[in-house]
Amino acid sequence: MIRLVQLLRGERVPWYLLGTTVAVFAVFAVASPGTFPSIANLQSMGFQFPETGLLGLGVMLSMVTGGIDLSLVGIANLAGLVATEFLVAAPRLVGHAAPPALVVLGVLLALAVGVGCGAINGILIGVLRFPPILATLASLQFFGGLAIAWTGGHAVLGLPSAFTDIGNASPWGIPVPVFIFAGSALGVGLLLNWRKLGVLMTLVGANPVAARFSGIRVARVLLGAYVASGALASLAGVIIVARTASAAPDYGQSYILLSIVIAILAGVDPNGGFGTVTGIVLATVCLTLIRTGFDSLGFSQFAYQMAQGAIVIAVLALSAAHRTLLLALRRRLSARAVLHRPDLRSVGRGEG
Amino acid sequence: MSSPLLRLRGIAKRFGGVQALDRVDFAVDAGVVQCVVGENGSGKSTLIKIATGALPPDEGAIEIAGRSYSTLTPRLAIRHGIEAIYQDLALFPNLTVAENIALARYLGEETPFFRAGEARAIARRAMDYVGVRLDPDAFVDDLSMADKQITAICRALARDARVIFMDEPTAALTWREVESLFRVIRHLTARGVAVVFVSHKLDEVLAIGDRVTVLRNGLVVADGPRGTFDRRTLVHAMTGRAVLDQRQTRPVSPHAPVLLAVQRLTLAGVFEDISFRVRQGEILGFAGLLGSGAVDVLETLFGVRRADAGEVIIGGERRTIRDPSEAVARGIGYVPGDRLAQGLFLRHSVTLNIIASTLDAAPTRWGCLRWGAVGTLVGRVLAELRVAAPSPAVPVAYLSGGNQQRVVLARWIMRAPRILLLNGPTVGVDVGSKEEIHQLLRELSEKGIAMLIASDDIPELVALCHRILVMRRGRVSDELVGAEITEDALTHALQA
Amino acid sequence: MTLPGHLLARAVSAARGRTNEGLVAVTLVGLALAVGFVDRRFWSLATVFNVLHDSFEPLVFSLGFLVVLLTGGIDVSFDAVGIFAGYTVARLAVASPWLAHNVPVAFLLATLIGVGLGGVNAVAIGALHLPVLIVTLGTRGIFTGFLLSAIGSTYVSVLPGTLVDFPTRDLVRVHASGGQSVGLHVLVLPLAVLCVVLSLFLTRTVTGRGLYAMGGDLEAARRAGFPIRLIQGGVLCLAGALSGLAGMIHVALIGYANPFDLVGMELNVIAAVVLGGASIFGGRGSVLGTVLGVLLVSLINYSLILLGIPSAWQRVAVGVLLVLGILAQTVARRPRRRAPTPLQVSP
Repeated sequence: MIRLVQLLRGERVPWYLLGTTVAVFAVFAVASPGTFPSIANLQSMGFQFPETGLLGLGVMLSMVTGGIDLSLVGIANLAGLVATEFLVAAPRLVGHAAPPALVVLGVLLALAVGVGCGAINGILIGVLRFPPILATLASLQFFGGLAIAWTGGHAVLGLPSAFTDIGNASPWGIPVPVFIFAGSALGVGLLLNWRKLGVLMTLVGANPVAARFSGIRVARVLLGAYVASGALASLAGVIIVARTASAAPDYGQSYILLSIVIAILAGVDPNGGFGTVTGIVLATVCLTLIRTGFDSLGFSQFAYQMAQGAIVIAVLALSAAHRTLLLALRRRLSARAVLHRPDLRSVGRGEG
Repeated sequence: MSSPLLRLRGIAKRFGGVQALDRVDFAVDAGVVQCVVGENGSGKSTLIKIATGALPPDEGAIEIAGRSYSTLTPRLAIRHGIEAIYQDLALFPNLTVAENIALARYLGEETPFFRAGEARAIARRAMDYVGVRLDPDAFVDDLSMADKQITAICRALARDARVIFMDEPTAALTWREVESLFRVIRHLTARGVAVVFVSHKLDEVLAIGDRVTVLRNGLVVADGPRGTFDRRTLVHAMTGRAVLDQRQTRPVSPHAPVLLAVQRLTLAGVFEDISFRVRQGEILGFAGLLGSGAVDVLETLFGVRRADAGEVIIGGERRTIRDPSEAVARGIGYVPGDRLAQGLFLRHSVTLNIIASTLDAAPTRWGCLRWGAVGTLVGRVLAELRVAAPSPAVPVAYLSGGNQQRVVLARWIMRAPRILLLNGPTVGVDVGSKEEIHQLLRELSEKGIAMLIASDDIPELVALCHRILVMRRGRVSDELVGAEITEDALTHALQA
Repeated sequence: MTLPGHLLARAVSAARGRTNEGLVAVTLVGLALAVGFVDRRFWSLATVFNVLHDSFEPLVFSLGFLVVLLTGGIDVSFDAVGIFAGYTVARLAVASPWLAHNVPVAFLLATLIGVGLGGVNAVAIGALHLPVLIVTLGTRGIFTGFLLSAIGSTYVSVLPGTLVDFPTRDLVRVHASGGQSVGLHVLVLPLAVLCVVLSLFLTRTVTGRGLYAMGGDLEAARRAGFPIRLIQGGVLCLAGALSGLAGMIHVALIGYANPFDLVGMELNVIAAVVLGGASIFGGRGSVLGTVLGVLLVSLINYSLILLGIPSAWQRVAVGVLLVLGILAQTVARRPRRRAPTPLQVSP
């Protein structure tokens, strides 16, 4: 418990996002009191948001190092697909094996795929120095294409129920995916604030030249970041596949941009250097609240898309205004800060 | 004597709680090289910005061509022929020389069409005016720093500039290139253009200036023809103190072990056949500017660049260093020349900046960093180096230049290096901090750390170094040892 | 270097082009030769016409993406703008017979809608001072959402009026010996004109050079006196216009209007533009390069179909191609050692 508090203290909590989330909840709770705040609704949300949240965490990690990872959905699909094919084929191979062990193996296999794909990204970006946006664009095509080619374009069915429980069971009323997401979020928070690799990632993102000149092995750090993102994506893939009881090779195309939207809403500086896990969690929850709220009010999902876009712009405008206000306040209070403040405009040119 | 091209009267400017300029009077005559000298924070850049319309003054007037303005805009200033060339040059690296020079003029004339041939002609005309020939179709990105500067000057001339402000123009030039620049400046002034040469490099000011204005803390403390100044009076005016760095070095025992030996180190096109040894506790200086290869030698030793030939022997063992992480592992540290871009993580805390190089050895429990213990370690180093910061959690961007440099030093102290490489250790640092940093470096050498310092600051090298290697065009051209090291001797060796 | 050496270097450099367009052209030719070697059916007019036909829509999208990219911005709303314009015009054409019989007007209308949406982008970016990528992520959702909720989400399965004839409007029709015929679509003319005009704009106007300047160093461009806000707004509107046009081309060539189309294919456009030599950081790129890049991607996709490779592998192929292309570019763009050129200063 104390650890948790300390962990949160290490993070900058984005208050504007918290406020927005609470406000959104309140608005929808008032607007449709019967359906919205019900346990059933919350539970159903709990099955939906973890996969996007995990992808958001992955994107956040890549953004913290000053890059961007567009390939996460491809990795998720591929990882889910591999696990599915294994779990569908395995009983035939082994005769019949105890499901729990098989399920664990399936998940591990998915993780291995995620790590492998992440490593490919890490090598392209860390060792070969590709611009991250282009490298992950290419690898997205590559991973996605592999998945589609393997299945011939159709979904793969036939997952054992022990596995689909991951996506559909809720011990003590809390959906399993929520546990997975919460655990991952804690893990990422731990990584960024308390583990050496995580701290190195923020440094590399803040100033890659200075990081190199400090003796930091930048290539290794980047590799670690993208491997971690890949692992997170593979977990998302497992949840997706378990929840839908099938592996669709090009599921979730809209998730690509959605995960980036989440990362931006969370306040990740696309120029690298800062990231906040609580922000990701809040952003994910907020957007999911809006979506289910719209559903319960009978708005079309298209209206939700509009709202999503509008929210991004509104929240960004708010936080930008908030920042300039703070700056103006600081300027007034401290002369020294002004005289010696260098131009903090981003040096890097790549837009993420 | 005709009236000045540009005159600032009673200019005042305040930022927050600081008076950047205080009742400043400043005049520029045609055909004159007017030097503005002052330490960092004296108000030099603010003066330029106000004179060229980039900033509005709080009080005072700007007089040009018989008219008086309470504030200028950049467009107005340009129309009156007042231009500034800042240190960053503001060129377009992805466009050609001709385009860079001509575009500025096209914008002024508001013609929509751009013809490459015409642009080349405009560029050639400007270059002839300056007396230089560059390839108009070369991309600015591929040019040397000196050529980029020429391009910037030509750009100003293409707009018929009458007064050109140059802000620290020689910061990245080799000695020969500085000479060329001076020739260009004299060429310009012979044609009636006024050049305002803003710098803190006293030797150059004394070499090129016709008139000198000294700023200190936003006030004009001295103003007159160059002949009335010499080094001592300038330093006195700039700093308010009589005497600067004095040479203080404890001799190094000849029996001290050789920590670093370099033999015939070569990097094609940059430096050649560099050989030297450094003993424990010795401070070895490298005199020479960027093009001389001095900084490149340090960067190669640190693994930023890879040598083509030669040997590096550290602590008696031959080593190849391919990457800074390997250099650090071998006990070498590097304080880079541009601390903002290369040395610091501006938005992160002082603590994080200091621990950046020693994270792998930082105290942990169950795999997690113990920030408390880290804080104690960092606190110790902060005290040792007398870093002034409100708290170690403050972003390092808020510190003064001197304190920022101390943070970079602190980072390496944490690592207890055997060899410390420094590139311009007191660039952009105010005078008081400068002396203190020099004292810190002396203390470090007494503890046995061998130091290599590349600097273009002659008094600094004289004050600190046991030995100085003078580099020119990639080779060691001279060596000064012990008592031979004086400012005159070093200046002479550099100019030879 | 000797004089002949100098001239040779100049010639090679000219052939390579400012952004290595020569490299792309060589790749294009090389690929064509390779595929033609494997399958002789490749060498036919049908190939040329079909590849061109497949390139129309991505080309216009790519040009829109290019102009914004030159200034250093990445606009990801182009496909949303495209389908918005295309679908809206299709629905309007269904409702208005006059429009359905006036194909050029339909195209113009789509372009204008695109300008309007581009204008929304411009306002948002101008007001928020945020990177183009992030703002267009938001506007993209708004455009799509608005389209689907306010204008409609129903399929227009057959285009009305003369629009339905559009896909077969050929400039030239060639009858092959096997009784088949292939046509070069009439669109090739206006698009060729578009490319030429755009290219002239980029190379022969001050504003055009200004785009490159902004991509090279935004602050320097501001100081030089370029009206940054105006140019940025203008370029976003231009991109919007091109996207709207491309969307209409998509709808008209494919014969139906599906409002769920297009969104999600932005990656192909980015790949084509980058392969054509444009820098993802801005400041470098050309119309010629983009045309070549689009042709290259279209050729690859066409070849895969011709060779009977399942379309699923297309994505993999594009991914691998992108990686190779970037590698080639980084190698070609190795920074040359900067030795100070000897100044000839007259004493």
